[in-house]
Amino acid sequence: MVRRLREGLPLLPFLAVVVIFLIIPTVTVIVSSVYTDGVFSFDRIQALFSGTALSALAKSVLLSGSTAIIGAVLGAVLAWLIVSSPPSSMVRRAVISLCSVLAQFGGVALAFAFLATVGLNGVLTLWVQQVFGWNLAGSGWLYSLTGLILVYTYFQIPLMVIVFVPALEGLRDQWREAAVSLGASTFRYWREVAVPLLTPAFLGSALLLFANAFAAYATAAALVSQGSPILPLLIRAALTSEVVLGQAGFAYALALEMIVVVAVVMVAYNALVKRTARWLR
Amino acid sequence: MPSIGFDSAKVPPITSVNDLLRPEYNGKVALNGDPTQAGAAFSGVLMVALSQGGSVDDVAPGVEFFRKLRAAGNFLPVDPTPATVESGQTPVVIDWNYLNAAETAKLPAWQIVVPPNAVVAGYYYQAINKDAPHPAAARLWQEFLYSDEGQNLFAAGGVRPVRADQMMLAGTIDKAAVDKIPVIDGPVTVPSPDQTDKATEFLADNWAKAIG
Repeated sequence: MVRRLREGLPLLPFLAVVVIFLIIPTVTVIVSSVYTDGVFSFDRIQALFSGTALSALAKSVLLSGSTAIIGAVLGAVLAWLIVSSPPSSMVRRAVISLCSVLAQFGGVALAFAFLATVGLNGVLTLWVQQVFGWNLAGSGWLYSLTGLILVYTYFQIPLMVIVFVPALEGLRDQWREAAVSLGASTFRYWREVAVPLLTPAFLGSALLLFANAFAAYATAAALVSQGSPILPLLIRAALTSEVVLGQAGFAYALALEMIVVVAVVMVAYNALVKRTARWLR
Repeated sequence: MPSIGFDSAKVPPITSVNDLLRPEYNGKVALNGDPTQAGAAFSGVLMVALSQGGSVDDVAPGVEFFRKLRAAGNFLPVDPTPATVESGQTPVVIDWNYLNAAETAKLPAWQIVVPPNAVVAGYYYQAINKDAPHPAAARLWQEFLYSDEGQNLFAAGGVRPVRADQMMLAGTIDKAAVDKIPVIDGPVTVPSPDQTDKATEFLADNWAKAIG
């Protein structure tokens, strides 16, 4: 017993961090969404089913889902191209460094880069307008869901590359050689060896991308200043409004909704991985 | 009061709210903030509603106007700031008259219109937190805000102070500052807190749909 305690001791700081930064906030969100100022009520949970909140949820899921899928597929292809060049190659090192930077390039800086380039008064928009007479910015697609999908993809693909390259590096050459020497074609090797091996890592990375986009705030906040189309922006509206007061409880309810969505996705992911990874054990 | 500010060097002059729908203003009309969040934008929508035959109890025509503005491609969903005004990203801005007036000081071509048939005034409320550690200090601050000196500072910023009428009678108002504030003849609409609550409720349900 004492030995066990002593072995567990180094984990205490970790436990403290988890409690302070994960468990306490989560419990606060759950409790505050139904219980504020000494009153217990489900009104705020009910408000989640209003038109505005439901459409924000749908758009948030659509945005995170589509950018996770686009990012995961394109990122995986790019990662595969990178891994097929030798580790010492200049291009590979440059692309990986670039991806590490770009994956963290979300937020206001990225939004501004897009605004300044293809926004309604962006440099490229004005130049194309002058030279070709086309209107790139249309009626402001960059400030809508379409624009958010494009901008989010910009940091989703590099993130996918960073998290997926190690999985691809884990594929040993010997496995391919063994498969080929047993008479498998390249296609068959990919279908029956590589893809099943990579599926859990691919799904895990896609889930990470989903959560990354789902919680992203600054990029959207810098691009969209009207109408709060996605959940993080609706939380901002509930917390900072000058005209609708006393909405903090609604913000808690929205935060709870976001936790629930991510939890559902996690459970689904776990079930999927269990099925695909059964034979790996 | 909400006003329409525009860069007369970049766009043709605006005389009424309906002008904003014209093709010359494609992608050029910005509103200071989201009306479900910002007081300036809320008053802007109310001003537009009045110009479209709505009233302080019925802001739907205002939301409908912004839907048309968005459909025409004229509505610019960018939050205007002094930086966007000066760089020309937001050539037409619906905002408080005193904020638009502040732009004229930096950009001489910046002109301001208060549509004569749609004059709205809005108050910014003061409050003291009942759990404030020094409530007496907060009260002193409020006394200063409502003193002649504090009110004249508001006037110098281009805002019509709430005690302006009494101060004019008493002769304590800063005449030079007040003369710069646009003179309004005719009715001014001031929403009551109840009307504001009803309007924001309507906006919370309909604004995102209109401009989404």
